[in-house]
Amino acid sequence: MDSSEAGSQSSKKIPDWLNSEWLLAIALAAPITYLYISALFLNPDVVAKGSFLIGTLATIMVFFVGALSLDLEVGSMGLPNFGKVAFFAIGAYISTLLYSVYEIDFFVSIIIALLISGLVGFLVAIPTVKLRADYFAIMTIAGGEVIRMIFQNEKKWMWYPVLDGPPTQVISNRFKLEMTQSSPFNERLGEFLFYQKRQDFFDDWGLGFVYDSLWDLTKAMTFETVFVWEMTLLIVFTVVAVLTYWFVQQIRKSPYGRTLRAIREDDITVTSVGKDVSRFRWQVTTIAAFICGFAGVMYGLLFSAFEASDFRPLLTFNLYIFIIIGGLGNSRGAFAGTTLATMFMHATQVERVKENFTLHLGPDSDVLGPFFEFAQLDVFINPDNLKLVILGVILILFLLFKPAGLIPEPKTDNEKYMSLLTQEQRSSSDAAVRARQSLTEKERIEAESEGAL
Amino acid sequence: MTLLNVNLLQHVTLALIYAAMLIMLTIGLNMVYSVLKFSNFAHAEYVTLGMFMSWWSLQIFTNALPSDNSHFINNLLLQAMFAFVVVGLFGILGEILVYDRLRFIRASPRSFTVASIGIGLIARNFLAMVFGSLPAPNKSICADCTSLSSLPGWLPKVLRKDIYHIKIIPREISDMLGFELIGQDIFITGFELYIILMSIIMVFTVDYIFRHTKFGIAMRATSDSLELAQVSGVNTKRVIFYTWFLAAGLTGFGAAFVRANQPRFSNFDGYYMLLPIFAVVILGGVGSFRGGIVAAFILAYARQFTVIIFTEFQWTGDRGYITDLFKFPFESMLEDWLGFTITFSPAYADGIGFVILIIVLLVRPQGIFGSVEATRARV
Repeated sequence: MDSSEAGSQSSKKIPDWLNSEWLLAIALAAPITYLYISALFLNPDVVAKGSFLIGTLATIMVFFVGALSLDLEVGSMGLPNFGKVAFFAIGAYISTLLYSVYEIDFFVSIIIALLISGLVGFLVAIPTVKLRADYFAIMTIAGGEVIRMIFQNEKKWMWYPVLDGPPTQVISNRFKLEMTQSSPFNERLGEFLFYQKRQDFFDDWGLGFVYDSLWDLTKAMTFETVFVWEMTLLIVFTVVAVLTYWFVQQIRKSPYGRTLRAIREDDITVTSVGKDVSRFRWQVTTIAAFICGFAGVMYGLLFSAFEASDFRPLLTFNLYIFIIIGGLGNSRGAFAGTTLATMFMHATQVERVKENFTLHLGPDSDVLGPFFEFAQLDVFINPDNLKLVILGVILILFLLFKPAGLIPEPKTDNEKYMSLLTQEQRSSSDAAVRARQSLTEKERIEAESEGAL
Repeated sequence: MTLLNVNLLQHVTLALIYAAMLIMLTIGLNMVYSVLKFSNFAHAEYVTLGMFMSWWSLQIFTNALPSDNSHFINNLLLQAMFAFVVVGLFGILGEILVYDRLRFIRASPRSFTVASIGIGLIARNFLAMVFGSLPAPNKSICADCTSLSSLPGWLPKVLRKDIYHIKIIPREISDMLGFELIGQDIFITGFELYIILMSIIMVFTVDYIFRHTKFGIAMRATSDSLELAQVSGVNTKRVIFYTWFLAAGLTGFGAAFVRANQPRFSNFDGYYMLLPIFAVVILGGVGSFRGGIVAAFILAYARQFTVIIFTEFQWTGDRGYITDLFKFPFESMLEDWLGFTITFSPAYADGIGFVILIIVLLVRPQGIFGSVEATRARV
């Protein structure tokens, strides 16, 4: 007891705004933000700066929706789905192919893609949710690979037909081409948003030459139309992401979400009070598949040219990194994790930033040359691999030292139930919680003996 | 004229080699899975690391040793031993830095799995930085270094041929019959022979360790129940360390032979093997070596026969083979039923294993030889 009292006293000295979570968030976010802002300003011109920023924001929205759907399964219900990438693939492929090849109406194609995605989620869930969690993980990862193989190999109806020649594996989105083509509507929208002050804008930035070269570009895809397309995508994506956030929050706040958390903590207890655990599991898996299909549709619109090998399990692992850094079981955490990781990944894609993170160590290096000569090594430290190493290290550090993530899951407010208990019952309940959270055997035995009294 | 247009004997041999390779690479995963109770996705990186380490030791030793043209020292066995030690130490490093601490804070098994994904990410990209991300061997520094391993020079000459040509059915029989029955000869490279031999040796060694040594018994006790093993006086911490070393090391040892057999390799090779390896362990049943062997054979033969059958579907026109008799009716039947044709691509061969896995798990969730455990959530 003495040590805990001392701990509470010392924690009182620290102001509320400077507790460790804020410090951690700042320690992680500050370097990444600094890196991102410098990368933003290292882009060569205003056009590149703008599309870099818009591209990052839109990517964040896409992966935020995906991370939300994963977090609903993993964080809220504790069902480790490692096959999320399959629904990305289904959403992207079906919507793009239906619109671009089979010439179905745009919105209808999206709705069909979402329905198929939800249906596949349902079909995958029905037999698998009763399996043990580790078998479920392997089954979903294998199912995802099978779906990817179908997209990769069905040349006749999953590949992109080319007018003169065999079909290609790379699917390109006709919708983007149409929207960015020069048309009266696009031109007017572009004028409305940008045209009026364009000359002044570029002159102010000393970039008149950019303006001239842009004006001389082929009419097929003008600066305005691309800008309008990107801005529209960003706005629509943001709206979709906010709606998904709202929807997931509604699930989490409702009694349904409480049941999900109870299943995560102890599914046998939930079964014993008369809930059908399997039913909850397949329902949530289907809902999550539906949401993830939406992320896939957005993926198809944003990247507009993709192929089946983009949908390997690595994408799922990335989503796991996002939600673990941000905090499991928590929509805001999913957003924080996605934002930070995506900013980091995008910042290190800029050429001028890459130059700063490149180092060549070989037999011809000055000091360590003989060592590398003996070891027959020619090390080339490059940002493409280094950023993934750093991301892996961050992930493991979070798992070790901050398993709850940047923004921990909010504790359920049980005060109105706890106030019904007597003081003795209450202290024994506290002791039981402490025993469960104890790190060492000694703490656990102390807490348990205290609770027994 | 032939009955089939494939050399069936050769295909059966290829499947045998693939099965032997899977067995070599899955023994370690099975050990970790049964003792530590989580799916270690970093296992794929042990394969990659073993490949790179065997190649690297070839470079170092060729550079440092005096000329060793008869390959008495610098041979594949030494390289495989080097890979065994380095990869084993890497396994222990993961335990010291990550898993031990995770166990201390009583993290959920899912945290272990995600941590292993992180370790895999780090290892894969670190290797890409050190050895180059293009398919190695492409970065030999010294001019006279080779990327081709050699078999030990002290072995009898029969055991270190580059390629073995085995005639199973003599040509006279097919001449007499007027057609080839199921093919007549088999080609195996020397390294493939060693993959088969080493997998057999490894299986029997590990089986001996598990049954007849004190360490093996301690390991099985730990895998049954950590607390009970501790009560019985087993130093579980040491057992876990040895498990990591042996599991990772054996995988690296096998990976050295796999690398020697293929012309080039990259830092993604192990990652692409991840799912077949896991499919073997899960299909056979976690913790069962016998099940792992059976599952490896099932998956390997399913894969190889899928390749044979689906390659048949790539041909069009009547070629006078027996397979044409059932191929065309089947295709037209599918067209009638579905309204479109399915591309029977041989690339589906890797997916067939997963389909088998899914079907078997639905019927028998603990795997073929696995035992039902009373535990709930893992991962």
